[in-house]
Amino acid sequence: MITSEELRVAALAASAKRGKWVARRRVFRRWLGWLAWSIVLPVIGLLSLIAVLAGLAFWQYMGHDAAYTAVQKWVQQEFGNFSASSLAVNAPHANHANSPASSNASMINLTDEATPDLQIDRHLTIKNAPAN
Amino acid sequence: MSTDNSTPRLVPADRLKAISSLIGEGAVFDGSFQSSKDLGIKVDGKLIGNIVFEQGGAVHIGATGVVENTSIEADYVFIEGKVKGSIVARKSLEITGSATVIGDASYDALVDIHPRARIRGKLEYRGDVDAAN
Repeated sequence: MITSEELRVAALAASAKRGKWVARRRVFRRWLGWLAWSIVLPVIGLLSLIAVLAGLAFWQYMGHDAAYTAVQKWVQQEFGNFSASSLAVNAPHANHANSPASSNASMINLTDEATPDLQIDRHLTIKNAPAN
Repeated sequence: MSTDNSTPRLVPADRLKAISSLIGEGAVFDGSFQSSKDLGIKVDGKLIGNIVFEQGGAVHIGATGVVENTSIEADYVFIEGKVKGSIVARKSLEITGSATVIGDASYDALVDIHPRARIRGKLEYRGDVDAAN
C-alpha cells in the first residue's frame, strides 16, 4: 500500500516533469515571438524597402520609356510573347450578331429630335426614323 | 526545470522537494491558504486568494499554475506560472522565463529574474540599501 509520503513524492515528481516541458515550450514561444518581432520582420521590411528603392532608381536612371521597354522585353523573355487580342474575350458584336431581338442596333430607333449624346456608346447603331 | 539539481537556484532544491501541499493541474482552489509552520505549497492549477506563511515557507507556482487576486508571502517564492497580485519574499524571489507577474513584488535578500520573464509591476528591495555590501 502506498504511503502518503510516497504519494507526495510521486505527485511532485510528476508535476516537475510536466512543468519542465510546459516551461520550456513557453520560453521557446516567447523567444520565437521575440525573434519574429525584432529580426525577421525588420529584415523583411528592409528587403522590401531596398526593392522599392532599387525599382525607383532603375526607373529614374533609365528614363520612363527606356525602363518601360526594358521591363516589357524582360517580361516577354520570361513569360513569352502574347498580344492583347489573344486575351480578349467575346466581343459584344459577336455576341449579338445572330440575335437581332437583343441587338442594340434593332432596339434603338432615334427620331430627328433625338440627342446625339447617345453616340458615345460605340456599340449603338443610330437609325433615323421618321417622327410620328 | 523546476527541481533540476544541475541548475543552481536561489530557492534551495531541498525546499522545493519538501513542499507539502499541491494544487494539481486542472484543479481550482478558491480561498486563502495560510500556515504558521514552515511548510511549502506548489500550485499547478488555479488558486484564487492569498498564500501566507507567517514564518518560513516556500511557494512554488508551477508552469501551469495561475494565482489570482493574491498576496503571496513566504521566505522563498519561485514563480514559473502566472501571478496576479502582490508578492513578498522574505528571503529569495525567483521568476523564471515562463513566468508572468502582474503586480508588485518585494524581497529581502536575493532576487533572480529571467530575461524572458514578463513582469508588470514594481520590484522593491526591502532591506537597507545604504548598508555596506
